Amino acid sequence: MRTRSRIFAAGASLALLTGACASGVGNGDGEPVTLAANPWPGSFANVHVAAQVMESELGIDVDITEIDENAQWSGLDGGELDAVLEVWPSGHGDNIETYIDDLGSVEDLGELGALGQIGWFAPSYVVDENPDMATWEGLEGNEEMFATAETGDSGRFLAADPSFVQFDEVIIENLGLDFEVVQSGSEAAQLTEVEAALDDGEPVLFYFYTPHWLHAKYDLELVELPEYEEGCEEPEEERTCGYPEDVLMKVAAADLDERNEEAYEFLVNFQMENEWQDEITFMIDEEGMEPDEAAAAWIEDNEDAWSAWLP
Amino acid sequence: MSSTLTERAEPDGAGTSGASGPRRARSVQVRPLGVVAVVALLAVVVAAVASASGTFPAAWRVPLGDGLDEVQDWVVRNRGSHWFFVGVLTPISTAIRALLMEIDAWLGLLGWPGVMLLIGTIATVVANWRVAIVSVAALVVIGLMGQWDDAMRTLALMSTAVAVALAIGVPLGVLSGRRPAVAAALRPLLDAMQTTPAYIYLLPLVFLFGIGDVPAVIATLIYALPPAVRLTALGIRTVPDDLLEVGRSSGGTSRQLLRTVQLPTALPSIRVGVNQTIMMALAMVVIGALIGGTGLGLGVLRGLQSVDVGRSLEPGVAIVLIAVLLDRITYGAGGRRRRGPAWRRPALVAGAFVAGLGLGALPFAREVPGAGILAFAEPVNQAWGAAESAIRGTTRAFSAVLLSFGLEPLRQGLLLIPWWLLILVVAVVAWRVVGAGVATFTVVAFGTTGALGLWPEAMNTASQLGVAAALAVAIGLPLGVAAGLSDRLDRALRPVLDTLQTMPAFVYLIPVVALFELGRVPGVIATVVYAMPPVVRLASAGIRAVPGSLVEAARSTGATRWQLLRTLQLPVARPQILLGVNQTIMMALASIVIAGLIGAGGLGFETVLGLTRGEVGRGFEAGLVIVLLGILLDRITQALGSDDEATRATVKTA
Repeated sequence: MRTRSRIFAAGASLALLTGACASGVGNGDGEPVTLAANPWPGSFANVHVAAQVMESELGIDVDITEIDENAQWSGLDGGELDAVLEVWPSGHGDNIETYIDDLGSVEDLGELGALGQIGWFAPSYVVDENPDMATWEGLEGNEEMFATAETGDSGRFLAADPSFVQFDEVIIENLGLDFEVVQSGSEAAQLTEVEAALDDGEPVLFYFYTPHWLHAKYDLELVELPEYEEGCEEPEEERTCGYPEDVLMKVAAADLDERNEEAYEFLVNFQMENEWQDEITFMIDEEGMEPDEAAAAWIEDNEDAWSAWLP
Repeated sequence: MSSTLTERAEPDGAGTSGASGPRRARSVQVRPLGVVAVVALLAVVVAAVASASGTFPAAWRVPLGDGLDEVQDWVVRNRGSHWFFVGVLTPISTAIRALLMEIDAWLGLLGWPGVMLLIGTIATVVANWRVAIVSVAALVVIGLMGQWDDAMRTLALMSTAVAVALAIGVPLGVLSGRRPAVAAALRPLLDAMQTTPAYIYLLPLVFLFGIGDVPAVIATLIYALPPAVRLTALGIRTVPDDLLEVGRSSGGTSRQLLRTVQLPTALPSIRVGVNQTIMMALAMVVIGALIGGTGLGLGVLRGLQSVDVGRSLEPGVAIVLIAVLLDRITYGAGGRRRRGPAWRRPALVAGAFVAGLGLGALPFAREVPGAGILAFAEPVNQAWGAAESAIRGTTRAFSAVLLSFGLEPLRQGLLLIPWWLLILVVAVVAWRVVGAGVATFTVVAFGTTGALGLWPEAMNTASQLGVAAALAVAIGLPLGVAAGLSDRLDRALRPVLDTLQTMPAFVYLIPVVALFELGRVPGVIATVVYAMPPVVRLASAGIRAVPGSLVEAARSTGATRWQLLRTLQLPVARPQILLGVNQTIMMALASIVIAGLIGAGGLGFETVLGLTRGEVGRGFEAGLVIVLLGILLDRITQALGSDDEATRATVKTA
């Protein structure tokens, strides 16, 4: 996973000047490319697959910067980042408007190929025992089984990492459910809490999404909310509908095609289907492989898939 | 998020506590301030009558954050073209990057044998050979854990931040030590730099300096600069007047006086400043990684993000080792006078550097042999998995008790009290304990909290802070007293306290959530762990400082151990203990944001939103309330620990 970062590369070239041995930088035609890896496994899977194929097939040097998904927009705009391969548009309306539509410093590279779905999830054993709970109507009156010390008599609804845009508080209130939303503060904390509940076989209701490795490890059920339709989220304070399907997208710095056309075309062609991503993230999270090893294993077995991305 | 590894009870409690500098001569100022305070209290009463409501009136909301969001928007749109960014910030960024690359490259050239030789030599020269052995051993362990490259990157980041902090901080400290006006102007700024949660300026730094190691260095700089300024100023200020007189009467100019009298006399204090600056910088290692910084901090963050305890513990332990190593070296510096010519020490270090470069050129110098044989992520994860399921039932039951009998009643109670009554009560207490100035400040701070619409969040946070600080003192104080009475316990506790203070809290977030159920309790537990060390250390130091002759005299009168403790040792150690309590409360405050990351809600969560959801304005509002709350708590608790007899008498009767 340790792709040489810029500073080390610079340090190494200084070392070269002073006589120690070090490898040179840059053997492709264009400039090195920096990809953003966001702190979730799917993002790592995309980035490592893309980086390895670009390096081995196109000879392009790729740096990987691990960065928060909000800060990344500023990075694309400021020139420290060249591309982000998995953006969930539902949470980035403002950023898309500012950087793509208004400033024009970031370019839409099209769909990633994977679909994301945000929603309310509960363990399958809860729904199996009480089939009504497959929809929100079944939750009504049963809220107390999700109660914890923190929420008292109300049921607990475990919110997601605060960086995701969430409407659960509004939806819960408008549907007349007796849930108290507990902010989890970070995805790590939420996952820890959810796993603790799942290991103990306890009921838990939480904001979550696919694709995610958690689904490979546990059986989870998407609780049906009133279906999302265009415009049902307006006005926000009256919203009752669930989340739309997210068509995940890729974005790049607007001048990438001038600086490295080959990389640009490769990234436009790059696709990552849900199934492929699940395969890779499972290797990372359940088989304990490093992201670069998992990506290499997938590349080994899927030449048909990635050869189509080459310009 | 400060960690003062070895608490040194500086006269002004420098370090984590935001407040230092000479105490004001209260009696002189009471009158005009008293009038202001009375007016402020009256204003609260009038406002209460006008609003006729128990909750802070929503109509008085001040949209401060919206204004900031507009500024942010302007920055985003203009940073590519405006002269300020192109002409001022870009060169700063370039200079920092250049310095960082330079240090990184030299560390690379030295390789592991060169770095060990150099650090070992520095340790021998500035401290002693024992410290040198400990330092090299720490480096060997880091190498064997497979953390060498990340550790060197962290060392480069730290050195850059510390070098810049000293280059700015020492001259500023000299200036502030010689000109009281400068000191007065700097004090609130330095307070704010130390109490402002980093989460609120991370995203603004990204807008100004981009992402990566450069903004990480600047974030570190903001947090680590204050001790360098404060302790330099303190050193300059405490130069005895008669020494200055002697200098002056022999016709020295102001500059000569500085060079020959003030700076040399202030040197020990400046050294402590260097030590504290380094410790503060280390506390920012993981925070920096949130905006693209690399090294050990990123390792900790990766482990956290993949919910892998063992994987974040490895770089966490490496951070602790680096902290211990740098602390011992800088603390030992100047500890004793050395014989031999003045050029010997620099010459030895230079020699080690050259020899290190030679060693670094050897073929095996790139990779530490046996790297990874001490990696412990796997066994730790297995042990943790077993321990977790074994004790989770018990710990979660404890959690429920703490919630229903501590946190929730306290929060509800604070929310039940009408806002104006709470302000009045706290202001009156502040007036009695400290003075009219702080009473006025109380009204301003609480009024701001209400006007920013953060009253419920602040009450939630206050209840958590109260419970956490009470627990930390309840556990830490007896432990500290016991350590003060027993050398063995004290020695045994030392490494534990060092670890608690330097281990990044991000490492233990997953365990506390798993054990105590996501919500307010894990935040409280993490806070107790993080904030307890100062009260233990200072209580122990206080008990130890009681003169042996006094203890002997009391013992000869036939006093029992308990009587001895109650009538002699505790009262004599009181100022130190109260300083420890003050520091513990300030550290608890610093961990509010950490608690916000694991479900505690309140002001910490609002602050986190500033970075993670890009809501800079909202984060800033919450951060401002935390700063005001921090300064207020600091002033009040410091006054409790004040040596001022009158104040103490007031406290006793109150």
